[in-house]
Amino acid sequence: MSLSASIETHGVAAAEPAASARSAALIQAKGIVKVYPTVSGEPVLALDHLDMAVRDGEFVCLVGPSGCGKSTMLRLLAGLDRADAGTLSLAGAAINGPSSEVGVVFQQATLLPWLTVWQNVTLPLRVGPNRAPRRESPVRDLLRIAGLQGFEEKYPYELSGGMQQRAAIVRALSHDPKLLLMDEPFGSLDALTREKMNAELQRIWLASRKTVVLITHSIDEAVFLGDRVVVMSPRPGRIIRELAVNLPRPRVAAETFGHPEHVKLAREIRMLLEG
Amino acid sequence: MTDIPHEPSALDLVAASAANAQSLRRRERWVNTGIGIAGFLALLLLWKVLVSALNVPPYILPAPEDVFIALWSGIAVSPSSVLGFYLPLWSTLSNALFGFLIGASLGLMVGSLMAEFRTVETALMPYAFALQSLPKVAIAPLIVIWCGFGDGSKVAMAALLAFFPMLVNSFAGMRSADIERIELMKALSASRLQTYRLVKLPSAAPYIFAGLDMGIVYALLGTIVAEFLGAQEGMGVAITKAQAVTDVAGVFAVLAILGVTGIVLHLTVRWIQHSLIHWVDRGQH
Repeated sequence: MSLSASIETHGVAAAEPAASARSAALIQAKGIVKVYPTVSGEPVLALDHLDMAVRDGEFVCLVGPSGCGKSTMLRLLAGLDRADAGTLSLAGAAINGPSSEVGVVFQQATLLPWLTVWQNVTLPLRVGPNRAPRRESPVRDLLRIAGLQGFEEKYPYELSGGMQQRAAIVRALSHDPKLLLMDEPFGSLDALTREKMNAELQRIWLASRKTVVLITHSIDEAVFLGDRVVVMSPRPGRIIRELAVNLPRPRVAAETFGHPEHVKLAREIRMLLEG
Repeated sequence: MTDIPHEPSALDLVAASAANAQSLRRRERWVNTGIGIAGFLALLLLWKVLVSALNVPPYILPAPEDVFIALWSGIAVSPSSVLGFYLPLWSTLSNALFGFLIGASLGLMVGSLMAEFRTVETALMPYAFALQSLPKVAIAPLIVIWCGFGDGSKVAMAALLAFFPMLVNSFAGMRSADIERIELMKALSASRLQTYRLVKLPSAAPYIFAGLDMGIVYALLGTIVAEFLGAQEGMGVAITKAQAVTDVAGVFAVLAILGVTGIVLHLTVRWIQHSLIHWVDRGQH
């Protein structure tokens, strides 16, 4: 069962056909528990038996209150941390550490300021063990899609905040991973730039069709981008609701934000988050 | 397409204001240089007036012109003359630079190892602290006993004094590396060496250059101290020789040369730093 029993599909959103969901689950998380030790000695339960499944090619947005363990989940998926209990698998194989099948975009662009944009975005092709033979032309395409053509030889500080974050997305995709993980990628951008970046991300995603798990605080962003929005409870994090977003793509901010479906879903999520 | 010739566009205004700011900066630089020169001349004048008004004997404080004569007599000779500053300066400078290279490289190596491996840090930190708080000049007599009166003790002293600022700074610099950048390398399954080369070393670069800046001046100091304790040649020897015959103007002249040398070394490090660290690291983002 890819959509496990604890997941409630909401009546408003039409549930995806179960057969296709079962056939192509890329991520399977079952009973994930994560405990963090703290300085005070009282350990914090960040994730409490979390179950989650993500289909191949799906765009999933994870929303929840601050400190609900969203980022913890992402770190587990990225192989940066280990779960204390439960099983977590990517394409059928247990996640035991960072994998070249995963690309990560952090809250900050985290570009290396001493490298050019090109050196930054091709970093995943140059570091790590047993990298695939250099395939740089797809990266050129990605840069073009991300609107960064002509900026290859610039340094990150010569780019705007939005461009830096786009470069970070290109970097995360440059080694052609199966899964793209994004942790509040546009949190540090202003509202207008953020909206623009959402449209850009959608465009890049439509062109690459990767599986995406995106963490966000913004309900609008989650509904605008996601095929499915997963709502998490306050700490200890559990999934309290999953909502499918049935809005046609490509979505356009001016139309989507006023769409009854968007409004309904956003209200629904807001009520869930406000308890 | 209407063209309004007298209405400056916003872009023109921006360009004009940028040009204006640049010319202001240039003017400010000239004014500062002027103030510097004027201050120096005023200092010379004050020196001269005090020396002649208070009748200070030349073995306490020579008049400025005596120092200039001593300077000139050391400069206006053939570079191979034993009377000139060139031979002792070369001896001091080559020993100081050689020692600096050794000390700074070792400092960078040990500092990196300490930052990279907790075990090395735990094992070495107490000694680093102990030696750091020890006035290293006090070790000089020991160094001379071990390495003799030749170049060896000068190089060793320079290396010793350049070692510590480099050790401390490279260690602090490596540890200051942005945690997100290290996480990124981790997410990319980068090797330890790749993370060191691509993230930690460049992150530490500003610290390392601060260490080099300190280290090169300390290396010069170390060499001079070693020369005081016994040497055949060098600027330290030139000072003790002049001191022996109470040629205070001669001592001043050597000090002036050493001062200029120190400034040149410092500026060289700064220049290399500016041409190497071209990026603007705002840490985050």
